[in-house]
Amino acid sequence: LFSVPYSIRNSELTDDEMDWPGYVKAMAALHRLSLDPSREAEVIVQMRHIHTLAQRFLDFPLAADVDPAPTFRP
Amino acid sequence: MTTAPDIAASASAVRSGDVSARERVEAALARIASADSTINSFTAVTAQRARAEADAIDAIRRRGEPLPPLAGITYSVKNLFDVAGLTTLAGARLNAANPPALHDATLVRRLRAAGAMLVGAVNMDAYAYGFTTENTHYGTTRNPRDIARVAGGSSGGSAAAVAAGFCDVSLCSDTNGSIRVPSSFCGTFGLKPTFSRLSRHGSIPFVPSLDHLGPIARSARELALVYDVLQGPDQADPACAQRAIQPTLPTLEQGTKGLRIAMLGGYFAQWADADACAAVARAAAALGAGDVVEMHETDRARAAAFVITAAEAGARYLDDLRMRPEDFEPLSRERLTAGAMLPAAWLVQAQRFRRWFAEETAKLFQDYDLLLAPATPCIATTVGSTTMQINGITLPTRPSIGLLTQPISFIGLPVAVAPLWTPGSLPLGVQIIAAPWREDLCLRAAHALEQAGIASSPITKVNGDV
Repeated sequence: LFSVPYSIRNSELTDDEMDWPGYVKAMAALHRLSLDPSREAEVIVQMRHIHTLAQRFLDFPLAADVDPAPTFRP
Repeated sequence: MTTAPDIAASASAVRSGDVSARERVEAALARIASADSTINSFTAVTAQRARAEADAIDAIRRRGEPLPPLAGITYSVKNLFDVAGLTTLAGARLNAANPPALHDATLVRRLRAAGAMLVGAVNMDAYAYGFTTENTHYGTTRNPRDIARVAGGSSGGSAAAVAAGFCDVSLCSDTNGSIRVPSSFCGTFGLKPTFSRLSRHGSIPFVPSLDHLGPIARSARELALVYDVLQGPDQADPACAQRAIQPTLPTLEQGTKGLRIAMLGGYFAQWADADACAAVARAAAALGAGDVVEMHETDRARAAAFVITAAEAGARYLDDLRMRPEDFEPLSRERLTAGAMLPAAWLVQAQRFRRWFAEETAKLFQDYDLLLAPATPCIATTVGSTTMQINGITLPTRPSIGLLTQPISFIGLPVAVAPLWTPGSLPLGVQIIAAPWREDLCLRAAHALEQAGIASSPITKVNGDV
């Protein structure tokens, strides 16, 4: 089972499908961030850019037993 | 440009009494006072402390007691390091009203104990989020090699101060390239050690998963001298590797004979212009490196580093983004805001990819001891530029300057940067990359490039210099 590669890309919307203004409004509300229209517009630009970059590794199949790289040492 | 005696020679001169530590400090302070208005590298000059430290060194010499290894060496610190009595800024107006630090950072304490003299704190991109040191609130740091160009970042104040001869060494941080990019642009030597090698205690973090600390200097020998003093475990930093000191200075002169060295192709050639490719080819020829190898999936690694950076930095500054958005650096505020909004699954997947990429890249070190790549895609960009051209492709300047450094720090490999000089007489650094914990090999190769006469970091005189 653990040798079956998986990615999380298949559950992600494409940039065209994604409602970024709605997402940014919801996250701003969650974080209690007050964004004026110009800031909100720039945050959407940044979200789109980061989403484009994220897709480059989100669609890369990793075996299920690949752990995150941790730095925490108890 | 002038070739200064390296810090080993300077320390030796102080030891012999040919020059006093106080004279060295006064000379550095005079240079800063006369010429830094052109460069804007210092945000605070610690003249009183430097004089006191110098007088303490001179007193030890007069008593005939042994002097510590860096006696009489001047240094600065990126202003994210705690210096007792100074407010730690991390390049951010957000922090300007904070109380002064009560204690020195661990690495500052170690340099002081080794006899080095602190002349001040230097400028950086706000929060360390940038590659140009164009700081809206503390000004742009100019490149001493050409003041129309940026110094690189985020440790731009450090590289500029060293290149201009305002100090011998500077302590810096490197999350995605912030030691290596300014070293490349300003023509200095830089060492980004293995992730977790040096204590980060007493420095303001940016991206804890990726933050490294290290020195910038004007030769590989200076880097080795300083790095050997900085090493060692630190219980105050839970992320610091509990490893014994592995001195690099004793093997510095061994050269590269017997070392297996290759150039990184693929991604690293794709995003490098003709100057950058030529610099690596010259270094490779001098070091006898003929092979070209590929680091697979580098593009994804850079993307994952970008996402981790945005997410961790955004989360760190979320409260201030909520309460004091007007105090933020406008060049990075919305990037931080977006970072605070990223899905957690992206961050976890980026960290999982990091593990995979580290294991995949480790295979290269079965066949090679060192890998060479450009530190930057091109020479220093001009102040204010928003786009740059690499091999016919237009890229946004600020996030793209770190294209070639970001994938390496992502997996914490040690890297030395050696500055080569392009036909246009501007510097461009070559990254010398080793397997984890092999800083000694990086420094040996950087020193070999100096010995071969193709890497150097002379002091550049600037307007008003004394």
